[in-house]
Amino acid sequence: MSYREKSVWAEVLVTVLVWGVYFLNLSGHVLNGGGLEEPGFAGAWGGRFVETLIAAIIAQIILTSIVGALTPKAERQARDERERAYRWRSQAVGFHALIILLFSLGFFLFAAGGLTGAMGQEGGTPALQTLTSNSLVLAANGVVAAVILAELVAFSMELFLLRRGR
Amino acid sequence: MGKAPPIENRIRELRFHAGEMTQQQLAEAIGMTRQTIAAMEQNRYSPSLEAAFRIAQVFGVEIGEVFQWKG
Repeated sequence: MSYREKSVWAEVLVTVLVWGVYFLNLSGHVLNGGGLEEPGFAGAWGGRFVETLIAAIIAQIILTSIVGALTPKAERQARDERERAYRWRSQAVGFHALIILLFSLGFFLFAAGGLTGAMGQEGGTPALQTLTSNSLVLAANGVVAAVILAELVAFSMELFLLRRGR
Repeated sequence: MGKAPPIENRIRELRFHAGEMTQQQLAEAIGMTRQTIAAMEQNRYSPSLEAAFRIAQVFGVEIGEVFQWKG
């Protein structure tokens, strides 16, 4: 396994574990009705977001150091054209995924906002009221989720190309 | 993913004749990874023109003796 492939696996591991826990907790919290009308919702999840971001950075630094220590120097320094080409190709795929995810998110928010407005805030369901009162927090998290999912698509594509592609 | 590129090569054979040079040694000589050399030998990756010239230079032969068009 080349240095680049090990590095991508490390990035996948950090992304899935650290951000996966954050978004599982957030979605579980919202779907279970928690935080629907909480005044401190934005502050609480803003704090958890920053904690998660710091955890992801620290985990990435540690794993990158371990991968570096386990790889010979010559292999680390190789500037491989095949790996570079696969990286660019994967990032292009990830970019398309990001566009689709952001477009879908925009559509969802637009539809939810329209529904909420049509029904009136008092008459809306609790889920729609959540979108109304904490819409910016949820929208921001949706954008972050879209970026992270797009990164995972790019990582997956790169790993596929490195292992099997041409 | 995709068809094999219509380019064949004699890298494995040339390595053998170059004192049984390993894939790792060739990779280090041209600044690539061993995995890419393996991918070339299995005809799963066609190198850039620059890399092809570097490989030919390592073996001290013309580029046409390393890579052949089979299209």
